[in-house]
Amino acid sequence: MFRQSRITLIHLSLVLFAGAIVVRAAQVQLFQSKQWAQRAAQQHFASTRLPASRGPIYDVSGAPLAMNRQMLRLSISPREVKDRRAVARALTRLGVPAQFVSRATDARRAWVDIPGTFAPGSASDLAAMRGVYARPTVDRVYTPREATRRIVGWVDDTGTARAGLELALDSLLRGIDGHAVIARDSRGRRFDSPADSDVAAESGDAVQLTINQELQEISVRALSDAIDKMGATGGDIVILDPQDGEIRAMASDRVGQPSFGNPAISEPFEPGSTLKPLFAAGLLQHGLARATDVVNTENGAYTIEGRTIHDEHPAPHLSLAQVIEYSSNIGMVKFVSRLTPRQEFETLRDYGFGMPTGVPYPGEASGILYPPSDWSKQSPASMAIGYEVAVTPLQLAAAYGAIANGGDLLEPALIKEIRSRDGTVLYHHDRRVVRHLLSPQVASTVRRMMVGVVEGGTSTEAQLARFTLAGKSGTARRGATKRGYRTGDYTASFVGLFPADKPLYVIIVKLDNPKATIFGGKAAAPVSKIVLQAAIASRDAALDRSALASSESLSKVEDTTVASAGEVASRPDAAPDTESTAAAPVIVLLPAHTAAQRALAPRAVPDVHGLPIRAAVYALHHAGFRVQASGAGTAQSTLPNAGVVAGAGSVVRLVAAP
Amino acid sequence: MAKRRVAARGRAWVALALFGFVLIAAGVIWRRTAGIARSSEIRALEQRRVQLESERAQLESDVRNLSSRSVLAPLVERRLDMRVPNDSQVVILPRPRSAP
Repeated sequence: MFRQSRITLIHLSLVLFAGAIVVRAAQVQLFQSKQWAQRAAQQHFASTRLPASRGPIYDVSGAPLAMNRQMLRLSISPREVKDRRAVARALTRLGVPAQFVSRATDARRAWVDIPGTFAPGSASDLAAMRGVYARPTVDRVYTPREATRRIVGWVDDTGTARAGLELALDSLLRGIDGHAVIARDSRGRRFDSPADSDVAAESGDAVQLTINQELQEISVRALSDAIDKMGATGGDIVILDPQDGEIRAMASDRVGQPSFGNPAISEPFEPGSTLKPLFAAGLLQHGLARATDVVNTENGAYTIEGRTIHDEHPAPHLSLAQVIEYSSNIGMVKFVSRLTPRQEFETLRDYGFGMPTGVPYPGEASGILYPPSDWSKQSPASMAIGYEVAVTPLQLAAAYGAIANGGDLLEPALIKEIRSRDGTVLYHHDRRVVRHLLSPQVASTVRRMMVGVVEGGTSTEAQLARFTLAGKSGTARRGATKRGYRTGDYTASFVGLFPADKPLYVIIVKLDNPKATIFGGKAAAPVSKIVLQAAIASRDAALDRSALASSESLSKVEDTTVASAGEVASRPDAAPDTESTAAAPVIVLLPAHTAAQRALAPRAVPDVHGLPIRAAVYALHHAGFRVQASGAGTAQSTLPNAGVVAGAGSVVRLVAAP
Repeated sequence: MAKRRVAARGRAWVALALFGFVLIAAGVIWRRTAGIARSSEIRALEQRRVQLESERAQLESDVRNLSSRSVLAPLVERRLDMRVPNDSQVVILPRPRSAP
């Protein structure tokens, strides 16, 4: 009886125990399931951020300017670290400062973030150690860093855009971060979670600029050399394609200042005489002057409204073309007096001065252009010679673009194309005309006037041997104070249209406070020549070579208003005989030879029959001859014939299959 | 006798069921273990890919920097006495008309 009741008691206990388990299980599973599931998920799974890859930036030819590189950020939990010595050694190998190495191995600390980012290859051993936490991050790599720094800008260590186009286009470039769920085992090892709850990161859009990397590097170097040579305090170069408004290069340098911002867009200056061709175009367009109209230029000194204006090249009378050629201040003041103040203001306003160009770059300046109501009595004369108005180099380039392309003011462009990650074109730059300013005839006339500036006027140092360059120099006082301008401070500038007949480039060169010479024609014009020569010699400087080849053949022939054939021939670097240029479809011009080379003995013309034209030209060139070629296929014959003795440096005509 | 045979057959079924359960459980555990091992392998390979791509990006950047005009031009001018030709020394050859 007693035994039976004891068994019953044990059974009852077991039943109660089982019941308790069932009740607890029901409580856990039915009523507390969410809390427990949450706690389990916290222990078993970790959410990790998948950083979006920032969109790449390319130049106009597709060369990468800004790319991404996946890196690691490291954090250490010293209390979890088992082998402190190994961690310390690995950190030291990575170049981590000693103070952070000691912090990372100090067990009193709970968490230490290691500064900087590390290449996965070099940090992978460390990242595998217990107590070390690695987070992926994306670093930005810029090439070539210094040449494009002011345009492209940069992002900081945290991936935040700080300047330039990186900042202006941040919403497009940065992409959208994703996240992934990682499973963890009891030892903290991480595995990809079987749950398909990952959200992939979306890369930013790819941006292609209108900048040509090669031309940009040429400009940066030429500017830097010019600043050193001239003792200037800074300078800018802007190169613009006037046919579609695309900016090909934009270099700026300020001595002793960090490379922040883009002064070519954000710092206006008084342009001085570089404004004169724009007024000349306005006068011609309004029908208020002709290129041959003559004014009395007062032999170099003229007083107006109590102020005496001087000319650097005094003359009694000058035509409008000569006023441009010799940069006569008096002549230009007298010509511009034919415009009413309203017309004078509108002429400059129509070129886009006094308002931003709209180029997508942070901090673009509007420049300064006061309305006639704010002018003093001297303002019309001052503005005629480029004072009391301030423009950015980019605005000036865009304005000259209208003269270069036949009269259309175009919106300058810095972005060529934007593509999404899947290749869809989101934006493509198309030529956008802001307004039609000039007739093609007026633009052509002004270009011819500007050719005169380079061929025989104030900017002969910009002259090229084979191509006709149209240009205009400017020398303006700078550093305006309440009492006038600071003594000895000048801006030397030069605007070039290359080549003059159908310009492919508008080039602006500006030097601040040059010490060696203050004149734009002496300080800035040679810089444009250096840039253009390097661009012509470069394989990839965004130059249309077929257009250049035809321009080369025509340039010195077409222009008859400025330099006569005799003048051209008398120049030491004058073109060799280019007879029958109209008949020959192609003229290949070869190196000008020095006097020593010309004195070399005559030699036999090599046999180039059957060679491709390129090889034939090089063979003839190598033998010391100049070549005039026609056709594009294999070489057929030469004149003189192969084997005939001819003077070194003489012209050999090469006929190739069409 | 018959009762004992029935009991033995019942135990056999239980043993079979248990064996089946163990077999299935072992299969599930093996599958999960293999999955985790593959996952770990994939993760390691992914890290290696990222590492190599990062190195490639850096090397490409180094190559572009070192072959850029700003680095090469001063070097060839100094070491090889080369210079930028003036425009009269440049030969521009036309592209054949048939070329696209």
